[in-house]
Amino acid sequence: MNIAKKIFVQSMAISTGILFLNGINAVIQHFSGNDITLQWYHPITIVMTGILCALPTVLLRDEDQWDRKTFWIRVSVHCLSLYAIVIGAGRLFGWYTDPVSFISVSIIFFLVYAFVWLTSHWLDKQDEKKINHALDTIRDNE
Amino acid sequence: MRVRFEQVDAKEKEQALIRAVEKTADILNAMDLLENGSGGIQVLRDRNTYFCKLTQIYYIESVDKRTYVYTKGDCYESRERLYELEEKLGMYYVRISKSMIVNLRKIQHVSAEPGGRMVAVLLNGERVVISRSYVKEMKRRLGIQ
Repeated sequence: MNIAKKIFVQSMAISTGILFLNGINAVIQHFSGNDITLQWYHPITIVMTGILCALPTVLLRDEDQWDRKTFWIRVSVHCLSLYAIVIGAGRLFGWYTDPVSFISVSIIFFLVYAFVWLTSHWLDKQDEKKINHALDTIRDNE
Repeated sequence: MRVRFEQVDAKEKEQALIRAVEKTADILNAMDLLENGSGGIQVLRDRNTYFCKLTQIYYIESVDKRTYVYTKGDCYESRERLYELEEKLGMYYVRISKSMIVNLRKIQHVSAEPGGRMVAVLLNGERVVISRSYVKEMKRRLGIQ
């Protein structure tokens, strides 16, 4: 997948993810007796944040060809870049108004980031099992 | 032994089923021929030309536009490019990165690493990296959905 397509697909995925989380939050708030009203600029800020968050993907280009040290350095830089974008966008668009909501946004961000990587690795481990099982049936005896 | 031929419309559907009382030398030869083709490739070492059987090859690597063929303990050079060899090799040879083809039958096991790539440990203990983008093709060759 070329980098432009990758950024586009990620923009859509991240925007959808943010919209989904906001939707869940709105439902929870509604049934807790606190209705949320979207401002006119909220939908476009979600899309813009999605696009901005997709840009650091460039850092992960050809990630499967790096050694372990390079991989962890790049992933750390990628994570912190995304965090800076989310916090910056939150500040600019007024997603948090006090220290408690700032800390909540930060914790949720790192949890979601770790969840995505762990899920991806878990799926790779499932592939590993299937491949090893298939290799058992064709391996040469040496 | 009675031999029956049935035509199919795609390469992926090709398969041979041998029903026999035991695996005799003739049957093993037939299996080897069907799985690996008629044979091997010409390789070079110290200005001498050798014939390398496909069943001996562990992996083939391209470095600086040169192609190297690795067996259990030896390394040879091939005059052919990687993509040319890829077309000649049998179904158990699969591209695992831009510069490498591996013989699936020589892989002891694979292990997934963070980032989506995998490391394959070969029967001689060598480790080769399977790029994320080639894992899908490897699974397809192994019949994994």
